[in-house]
This record gives sequence, C-alpha cells and structure tokens, in this order.
Amino acid sequence: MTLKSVSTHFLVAVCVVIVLAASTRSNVRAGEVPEREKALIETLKGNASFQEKDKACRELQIIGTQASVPALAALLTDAKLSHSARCVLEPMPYPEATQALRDALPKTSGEIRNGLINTLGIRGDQAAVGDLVNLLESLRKEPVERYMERSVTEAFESVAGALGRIASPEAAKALEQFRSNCPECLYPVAGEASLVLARRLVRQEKSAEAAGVYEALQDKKWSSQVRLGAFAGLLKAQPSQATDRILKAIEGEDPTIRSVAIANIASLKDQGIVSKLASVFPKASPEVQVQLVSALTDCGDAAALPVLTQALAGSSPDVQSVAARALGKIGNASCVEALSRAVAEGGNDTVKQEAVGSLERLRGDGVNAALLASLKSAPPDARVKLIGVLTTRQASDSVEGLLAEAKGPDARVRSAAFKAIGALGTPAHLPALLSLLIDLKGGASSAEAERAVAALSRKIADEGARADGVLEALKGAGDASVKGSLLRTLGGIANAKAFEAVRPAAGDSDPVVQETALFVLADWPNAQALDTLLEKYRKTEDPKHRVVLLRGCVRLLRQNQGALATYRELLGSTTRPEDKTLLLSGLADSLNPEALKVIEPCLKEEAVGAEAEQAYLKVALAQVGLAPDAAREAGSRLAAESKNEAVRKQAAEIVERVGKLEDYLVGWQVAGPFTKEGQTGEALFGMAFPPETKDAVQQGWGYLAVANRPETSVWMLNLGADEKFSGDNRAAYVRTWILSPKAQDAVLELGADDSLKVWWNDAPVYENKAPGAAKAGEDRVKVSLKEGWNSVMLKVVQNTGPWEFCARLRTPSGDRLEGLRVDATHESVPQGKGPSAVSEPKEKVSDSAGPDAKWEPLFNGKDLTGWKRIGEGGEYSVEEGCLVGTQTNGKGGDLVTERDFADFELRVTYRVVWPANSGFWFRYDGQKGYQFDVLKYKEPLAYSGTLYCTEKMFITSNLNEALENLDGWNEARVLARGDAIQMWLNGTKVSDCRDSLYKKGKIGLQVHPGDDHKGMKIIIQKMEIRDLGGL
Amino acid sequence: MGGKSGKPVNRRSFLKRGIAGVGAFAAAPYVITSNALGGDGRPPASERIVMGAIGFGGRGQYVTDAFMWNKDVQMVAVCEVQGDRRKAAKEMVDKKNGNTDCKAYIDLRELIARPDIDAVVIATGDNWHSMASILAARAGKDIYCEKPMSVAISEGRELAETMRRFSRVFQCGTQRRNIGNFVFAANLARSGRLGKLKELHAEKAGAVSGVSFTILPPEPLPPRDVVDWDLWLGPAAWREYNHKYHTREFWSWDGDFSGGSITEWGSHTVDMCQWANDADQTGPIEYEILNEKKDVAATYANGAKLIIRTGLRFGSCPVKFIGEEGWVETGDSGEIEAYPASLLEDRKFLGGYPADNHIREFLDCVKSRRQPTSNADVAHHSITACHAANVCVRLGRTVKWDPAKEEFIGDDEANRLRSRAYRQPWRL
Repeated sequence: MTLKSVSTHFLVAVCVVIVLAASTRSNVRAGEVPEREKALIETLKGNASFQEKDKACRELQIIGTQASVPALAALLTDAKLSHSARCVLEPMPYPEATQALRDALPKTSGEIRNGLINTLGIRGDQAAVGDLVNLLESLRKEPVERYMERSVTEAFESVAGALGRIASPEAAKALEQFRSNCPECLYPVAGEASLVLARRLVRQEKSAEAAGVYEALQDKKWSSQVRLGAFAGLLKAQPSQATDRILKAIEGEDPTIRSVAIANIASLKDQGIVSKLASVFPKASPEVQVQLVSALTDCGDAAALPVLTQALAGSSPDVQSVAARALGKIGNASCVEALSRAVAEGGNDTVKQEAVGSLERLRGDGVNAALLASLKSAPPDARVKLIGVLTTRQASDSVEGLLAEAKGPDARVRSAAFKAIGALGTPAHLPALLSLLIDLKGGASSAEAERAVAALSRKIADEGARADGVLEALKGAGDASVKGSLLRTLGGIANAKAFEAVRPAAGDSDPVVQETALFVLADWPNAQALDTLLEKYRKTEDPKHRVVLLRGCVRLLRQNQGALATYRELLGSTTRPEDKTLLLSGLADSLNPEALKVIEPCLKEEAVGAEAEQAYLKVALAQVGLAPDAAREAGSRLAAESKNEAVRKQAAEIVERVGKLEDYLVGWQVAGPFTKEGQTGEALFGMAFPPETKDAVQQGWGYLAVANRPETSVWMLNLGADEKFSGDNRAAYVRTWILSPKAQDAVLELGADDSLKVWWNDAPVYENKAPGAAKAGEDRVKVSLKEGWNSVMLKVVQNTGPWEFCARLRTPSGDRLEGLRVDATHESVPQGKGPSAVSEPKEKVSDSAGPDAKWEPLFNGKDLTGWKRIGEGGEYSVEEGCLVGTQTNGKGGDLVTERDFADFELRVTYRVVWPANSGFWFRYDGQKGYQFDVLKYKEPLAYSGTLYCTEKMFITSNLNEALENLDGWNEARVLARGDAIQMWLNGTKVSDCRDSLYKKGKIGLQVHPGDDHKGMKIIIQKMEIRDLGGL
Repeated sequence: MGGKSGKPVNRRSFLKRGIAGVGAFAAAPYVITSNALGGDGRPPASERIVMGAIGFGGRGQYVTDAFMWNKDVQMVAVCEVQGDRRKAAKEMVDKKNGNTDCKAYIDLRELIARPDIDAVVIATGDNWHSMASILAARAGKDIYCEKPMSVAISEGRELAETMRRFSRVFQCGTQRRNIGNFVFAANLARSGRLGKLKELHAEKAGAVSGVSFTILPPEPLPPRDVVDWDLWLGPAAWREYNHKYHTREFWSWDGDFSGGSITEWGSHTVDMCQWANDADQTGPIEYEILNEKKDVAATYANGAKLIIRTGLRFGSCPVKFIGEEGWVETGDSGEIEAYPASLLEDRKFLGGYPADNHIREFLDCVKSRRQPTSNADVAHHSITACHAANVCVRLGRTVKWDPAKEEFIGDDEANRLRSRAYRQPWRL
C-alpha cells in the first residue's frame, strides 16, 4: 500500500463513512431507545453537575443514537458543556448531529461558535457553507486593526479552515476570494485554509483546480512553509509535470524549495529523471550536488552511476566523499576504476576512506578482477590500500595477481601483498612465495613475507608436513639473513620438525643466526621449546639473552599448570630481582594452590616482597572457587603478616568471601554439555557420556566458575551461566576431591535442578530422576570418607529452565565436618579450559605478534618527547620516571603520540588512583578511535580491559572486575592486526574480536572529564610498542 | 519520558562520542554542514538551528540537554506551564549557553510565534503532543516531538497531514529506530533471516492495559505563574483543578490525557514490531484480547501476529521477533539473544538508551529537508496500532481494522473512538 493511497482513502473515509453508517443505523426509532441511553439523556436534561453531564457525554460518544441529539443540542450553547456535547456529536454517524451543530451557530459566538465551526468542518458539512461564507464576510467587516486580536484571528481561522475542509465549489470560491484580497495579517489563515482545500481537491480528482490553488500559493507573498507545502502539493497534484518542476526548482534561486524538490526525487519513481539530472548536475553548486547524490542514491537506479562517477571525479571533496559512499551502495564492477582512482587522488582523507569502504562493499561479479586491473596503474600508497581491500573482500581469486605485486620495487606494496597472500593464499602458492622470501635476503618487507609463508604453511592439512617446504629451503640457504628469515618462518609454523631445525641453530657458529634462533625459540608458541629455553637460560651469560629467554620460559610456564617445580627451581637459582619479578608474574596466573607455597619464600624478600604479595593474593583469589581452604589460609596469612594496608584489606576480603561459601563444596571441575540430537533431558539421564565411561575423560574437564548469585546463596552453582553450557536438554558432569584426615562416615547433602546421579570414589552411589528446582539438602547420600583423598562426581541433567546444583558434606547427625580440605585442582585440567568472558571469534587469530618485530619504548622515562596534548583538560607530567595523567578540575584531555600506527602490539604497565576513567587510545585521530578502557562502569557494566570505540561504545566488555589490580601495577596488552583486535589484562585475554572501523592512528592516554573523577591519576611505568606495519 | 522507561542520562556516551557519531545507524543523509561540525569550532550563527523547547519534565530535560550537545543548535527559549519547571528549564539552558538570554514562556503560542526559531522540541504531556506539533508546523517550525505523537487515531492522521501540508520535517522521539541493538534485531527480521515472521512481541509499560477516567475533588486554582491550568488541559475536556492531575503518575493512565500502558511503551515497542514486519505504512487488521491482563494480539494481513504483553526480558521497552527459522529478543539493557545463536555473529552495535543519534538525524534533516526515520507517517501508523489495541480493550471485544481507509470495519462504536473533539479554542 503506498502512502498516498492510505491517506487519500482515510480522509475521504472520515466524511463518507459517517454517511454510510448513518444509512445502516438510522432505523433506530425513538421507541427502541436503549434503557441506558434514556438514563443518560435524563442526566443531560436534569440538574446534574457539570462533571456528571460530561461523564454521560463520554458514554454517549460510544452508544448515543439520534434520540440523544436534542438533549445534546441544548448543551451546545452552554459555555462549559458545549465541548462535551461536541465530543458526542463530532463522530456521531447521523445527519441529525450535523443539523444540531448547524442550528446552534446563530445562537453562539466567540470560542463556543468557533468550536462548532471546527466540528462542522471535520464533519465536512456542505450545507453549512452558506452560513460560513456569510460569517467570513461579516468578520471581514470588523475593523482591520482588530484582525490581530486573538478572538478575531481565531474566528477567521475556524471559518476559513472549515471551508477548506468542506471544499465544495462554493467554499473553494469563497476561499479564492479571501486569498486574493485579505490583508497581509491574514495570510497565514488564508494560506493554511487554501492548502487544506487544495489537498481536498486533489482527492476529489480536481487536479487542475488543485494545481491552480497551489500555483497561487507559490507567490513570494506567502510564507516559506506555505510555498514549500504548495510546491510539494503540486508535485502530487500533477505527477506528469513533477519531474520538470523539480528540475526547474533545482536550477532556481530558492534554496529551500530546491531542497524540498531534491528530497522528493526518489518518491517520484520516475526513471527518466535520473538521466535528466545528469545535465543539471555539473551546473549545481557543491552543496546542491551533495543533496543530489543523496537523492540519486535513494533512487537506487543503475542509471545514476554515470552521474555519481562524474561527481566522484569532481573538484569538491565533500561531493567526492558522498559520491564515493553512494557508489558503494548502488554501484557494481564498472565503478571500480573510478573508486580506485579516488583512493589515489581523492580530495582529502575522507574521500579516500569512503572510496576504500565502498570498494570493500561493492557487490556483483567482476569486482575483484577489476580491482586487480586497477592496481597496476595505482601509485604505491593507493596500491597498499587496494590490496587491503582485496583482503577484506576475501578475494581468493586474486592471489596470482598479488604474487606479481609482491615482486614489485616498493617495499610497502610488497609488504601489503605478502600480508594479503598470507590471508588469501593456499599451500599451492607456497613454492612461489618461498622463492620471493629467499630473494628478499632479509631486506625490507621480509617480515611480512615470513609471516605469509608461515600462514600458508599452517594451512597444510598434515601437521607433520607443514614445515617441509621451508626446511628444504633452509638446507640450500647459505646467506645468514636468508637463514634468519627461514628460522623466523619456522617459528611461525612451530611444528615438531620446525623445532628440531631451530634448536640446533641456537648453537650456530654465525652469531646472527644464533641470536635469531634464540629469539625464535623465546617466542615459540608451544611447550616443546620449554626445556630448551630453560637450558639456554641457565647457560647464557648475555644479559639481553637472559631476559628474552626467561620471558619465553615464563610465557610457556603460564600455559602449564604443573610447572611449579620449575618455578621453584628458577626462583631458587637466581638472585636477580627482575628475574624473580618475571617469575612471580607468571606464578600469579597459576590455578594451582601449590603455587602459594612456591611464592611464600619471596614474601619476606625486600626486593620482590611487594610483587610476591600481589602474586600471592591473585593465586589465593583464584582459589576461592577451586580450593577454598587454601584460599582462606593464604588470605589469613597475608591479612596478618603484610605490612601493606591495601594488601591486608584485600586478603581479608578473600577470607570473607570464603566464609560466605559456608561449608558447601564450590570448587569443581566441569565437563559438558552433553546432548543427543532429539533426546530430552529425561532420556539423557540414562545415557553414559565420556566422564562416566572413562573415555577420553581428560579432554572434557575445565574449571567451573562460582556463579554470581545473591549474597545468601553464593554456594548454589549455576551450570547455565556459561554461555557454552546454556540451553535445554543436556547433561553436565562435575567432580572434585576431598582430603579427609581420617576414615569417617558422612552425609553428602545435595540439591539439583533437574535430575542427579552421584559417584563416590568412582562408584555409583545415588540417583534421583525427579525434575524441578534445586533445594539444598533435598538429596542426602550416606558416604564413607577414607583417610586421604576422596573423589566425588555428579551428573546434573538439564531438562528446561534453571540448571543448578549445590553440595556439602556433613556428619551423619548433620553437624559441620571439620578438618576436611576441598581441592578441585587435585587432578589438573588442560590449560585454557577455564570459563571465559569472551566469545570465540569466527576465525581464530594467533595470539602472538610473531617473532620479528622489536619492542620500542613510547615513553622515554624522562620527558614527553614524541607526545602531544589534545583537549583543554588533564595534566600530563613525568614523576619519578613515570608518565602521570591527572584530572583536577573536571576537564578531560588526551596525550597522544606524534607517530601513527596501524598494526602493532602495545603493552602498558599502569596503575590507577581511583575513582577514575581513563584508557589507552589506539588508531586514534584525536576524535575517533579505539580504546583499551580503564574504568568501572555501571550502565552497561564494564571494567578495565573493555574495548571502547568512539562510534560504537563498548565493542567487547570485560565483566570480571577481579582481573585488575586496583592498588597496584597492571599490564595492558593490545594486539591489533588488520581488523583483528585482541586485548589482555594482566595476561588474561579480555577481548578477541574483529572490527574494521579504524585502520590506523595514534596511541594515546586519556584523562576523562567529569567531576566524579576529580583527583584521578593514571600512572604509566612503561609503555612499549612493536610496530607490525600496515601503514 | 521519565517514569519507568527513563534511565539516568548516559553522560559518558556524549562526552566520549561527541558529535563524531553522526547518524551512525540512521540512513544518514548527506549534508555538508554536518561534516563541518566535526571540528572544535562552532558553526557560524547563520548555520545554526535556532530552537525552543516546549515541556520540561524529566524527558524534556533529557532531550533538551541532548539537543544542546550539538554545536549547530542554539537553544533560545523554553516553555512550560508549571512555574518550578519553567524556572529550572531557563536555568539549565542559560547555564549551558553561558548567558542569561533564554526566554521562558508559559504559553507555547508565544514561543512558536517567534520568527527567529527554526525548530522546536516538544516534550509536554502526551495530551499536547499533536496540538503543539501542529501549531508549530503552521508557524513553519520543524519538530522533534516526544512519543506518543497522538492520543487518538484521527489526531495523528491530522498531524501527518499538517506536516505534509507545510512540508515540515518531523521526527517522533521513538529513538530506538536509531539504537544499535534494536536496529540489529529489526534488520534480522526484515532481511528474512528469521524466516517467515510468526509473532512480534511488544512489551507494554504496565501489567494491565487500558485507561481510567477519574475525577478528583476540586482544589483551589493556583496562580497562573505556578500552573496555568487551562493551558495544561489544552484540547482535553475541562475539569476542576487538582494538583494530582498534573503528575505523571495520574495523567499517563487517564484516558483524557494518554493511552496508558499500551501507548507508553507500545509507542516504542509496537513501532519496532511494525518496522520488523515492514509494516510502516500499514498496520494489523484484527485485534483481540488475550487474557484478563488485557494483553492484545493483533493480526497483520501477512499472517504475523503482534502481541502486546508483559514479561519480555532485557530492561525497559523489550521486543521479541519470532519467525519460522529463528527468533531475536532485545531491550534497553542492550542485551540481545537470538536463536540460532549464529544470528548474532557479526554483531557490532552500540546498545542502550541514548537518543543522540536520533536527534542528530533530525538536525541533519532540518538542513536537507529529507524525512527522518521516525517521520510523521511512520510514527502515525505505529501509534495507530496502539490506539486500535486500546479501542479493542475499551470495548472489550475483537475489532477489525482497515489500515488503508483507517476505519474499523462494520463497527460504529469503535469508529467513534477514533477521534476526540478538541476543546475550544484549540483546533485541529
């Protein structure tokens, strides 16, 4: 249904329906008046109050018949009740109502009469026209100076307005006269009434007559809104002339009429207008061209493409940029050349960005081929961008062409091409790529080539064969720089064969090869390098190598929860505080309560005591849900012994949190969810899944997060809280271990939603198939604790609704069982199985920047060289070797690098004086960009480590407040490569997403405005970056 | 809006985004001047949109403030019939302008008569929305008017006609059309990714549908500068003064002044469902009462059912669209859930509550003369569905509706409830 027909029908309807309905209902005779209506009529006639009579009218509005009209007519002249009566009569479908209104006209005056006239107008009463015309004439006889008195103006408005609505020939004639001879002060009245009339005439299909009225209203004497309305009305009244009128208006003098004309182009649905606009377009001013581009885009017609292409080649950047955007919406392969040229030659950065965005979005066949063709003639800057476009478009058909680009003379183009080949290519492209890499001899853009070779190698299905091509090349390589390249590439492949080749190279006689191999090993992504790294670390005397190697060790140790012995040994064998600090930072991430014992000796050490306390706190905090007893002990110890008040406070909080768990078992490992296509929870109850059958059990387990529940029942665990688990008809298994000092009898008190099975020390001991809510202690299972470790496993099956359980051990008489120790880490789980706040991205992105780029400091520890200020607020200074941002007066501001970065890895060691709102900008232009946010935010909930975007707000949110050390140092890390953005806070990944809004920009610090943050400080100890190219 | 659907102003989003996010979700019209706004400088006075704000309750404060964050807006006048609010309005605008030039009016006709004002923001009580918009249009102003844009079907139709009559730019304050999570959800439905649509669920603001008619004992009329009672009533029927009448808790449930639970949130949520069902220029054809809470089910010609109810998740004004191949549910909390979950891959949006994109779109349209997303025709069809549901509830029976003719089919009683006669001197 088009807009036009809806409204046309309706307005006819209001008048016509009333008449039609009247013919069906007018057979109600006086004798048949319903009792209720009779009573209401009596109310109207009697001495009832205003409110009572008004109330009666409200009812009569729905049910009143002709029988009510006389009583209502009597009220029409009553100052207070006239409106109540009109409420009934205005929508009443009987001619008697109109008659009563008309009859009341001579008996009233002023506002009351105006009200009657308005209602007659709405009812479209043609019979009233004579009276109205007379009224208009008598009003005209008032002295002109009285016209502007409100009472007189309103009378004019009512009478003229009603004439317009009624729109009979007689009314039209009267209005025409009024329009042509009324004084200026009445122009608004005459203008409005004439517009109403003209629209009615269009509906009566008197188009020519309507157009006559509209034409008259085009005169300069009428107000802008009347002229604009008349112009738009004219387009509708005479559609055949609309195109010409629009073209004329576009070339005309009046900017507002022109805007209205342009805004109406798309609604004309006239294909012919597009080609006609082509001739108007070049003559128009840039401002008008911008509007025309909008209109042409709305037309969505391929015929508009030549005009838009022409606009793109014009001289005004504003026009160019909207044309570039428009082509992306409605263009096709034929626009690629023009858009590519705009990427190179566009009037400003906005044009270039819009052109790139449009090339990325263009639909239809042949776009990729056209892009490759246009690449050839583009200058280097533009080539880099166009290659990026091919990557975004996932143009896998363009790899051959890109290989040619990768041979070119310009390093930036080569780099971009290698990057694209890595993303788009297949192993079939490896030989060609490898030979390019070798030819580079470690020169410019070889880093990208190395990454591309590694990326394609990783796409080989047979993991064992992935390094074969590179290894073959390594055999024939003589040049040290080529060897270095190939070694780094092997680090990117990182399978067993690659490792076996790199390890001996770390002892190579050539110092360059040797160092390269060492660095590659230090960045090795998996644990096979650990032993070698440890060995080299213990042997080397070179301080630079020591740091690199130890950092590599700790990184790999973090991945291995069983590595505590190694930590202990390393801590014992070094006296260097910086080494110990590094080791403690790795230990802090341990989920093994034994880590507490490893840290303990460091607590008393002067040089690293503070770091040790932080690590100790962090490990203890992680144990609250896993091994509460260990957490309580550690918390109590620090609460009593630490000299740092903040640490004591945090430690006491850990103890308190454990206390709230009472003696419930809250440390669990979980496996699942297990489902079977088409099977309900009830059916799943009887099926045995791997944890039950002991089949590949190790693969299935991870740690269960303590659900975020109300204070009173933090021990009720919600299996559905993890996104990976939530849903209906599924099963999960949980298990934990209990250390008992002696053999003793106990009762396992359970509650589960829905059904439950229990294994005690690997033997099935209980099942309850009943569904329903979890009630603590509803299921009671007698068990025998043996001295030493006992295991318990539950199967909790979800039918629908909540999915929860709780469990604790008590004595047979129901008392607390003292002396037990619970530890869900008793058998370790594979790394990375902990519940995660971040959903996995579609395509996995490697977490490491690769081995080749070098870290460089952004902050020199002395002054603000290389930085500049943006915004009026925020004070930035260097204090004790730290970069400090302060907010004192409610005003905010940024400090940004002079340099731009596109792809990079950033790490920041920072501390905050709360309450604060700060963060680390990246790809920031001073207005727009991303930010590693540092804040506590309520609506929506977000903590430090949230990825903020100026135009999208929070792209990913860190909801785990505990990741940040509120009183101490934290490490923020950002890895941004193309549209892949990853962020870590203190080693935990807090963001892993893809967003392509901003491609490059500055790194920066923010001090957020607002009185709430007065006194906030952001203190940066270290800020380092690895430039990964892409500019 | 204040009331239940009101939340604290999210200041951060303004500060951090500034003006950069122009039309981020709107079908952004291309306007040179808005590009020029990116910088720190304010546009010259000749390029500013001079504005007045009418109505200054909680929502009035919010939107007026939001307008003033736009550097091309010059707020010069406020109007409010209640004295304390009028004072607060002037103080707020003066403070933000850094002068004392803002003029405060009791009578909106005086503000509207000012030739220097280009556009008005209307955030009065619901009873006044249509009349104030129409008066402003007659005087050649462009209008940003809070929802619901009407309290009766015919009033909304007349508003839409008036905007066309004078070629005005009108944006109804149904800002969820420019808020990421709602746009995302509507686009899932519109793009066919949910399959053929079966049900469109729209949350209403309170458990029970419908309105009341209550007369309170008369109280002495306060002086005009405290409350101008006649003006407060406006086109509605006369009644003796009682201070409770002009509290939101009263008027938003009273049939003389509002449409109760269904129009309060339905103006947003039904609007979303209309959009999701590609029904912006039409509406459901049959309305029936579902239960004792007077939830309403309305059937569209394409078979989809609009269900106006309570109990959806995710904060205020939630909606849920259900198709044969999937569903999506979202609300003001910004949360969104869909089945299958893969529908939510690729989601990139700003969820939440702010109206700034919606306001920015309006300001750009004032310059380009294009019609914004929530223009009078679109908003009229959405609120008409709410009013028709209210008629169904009021009559207590199923009603059939012809969206093209905008009349109930064969139902004289229902048709009489389409309109309300305006109290003199007010004129549609």
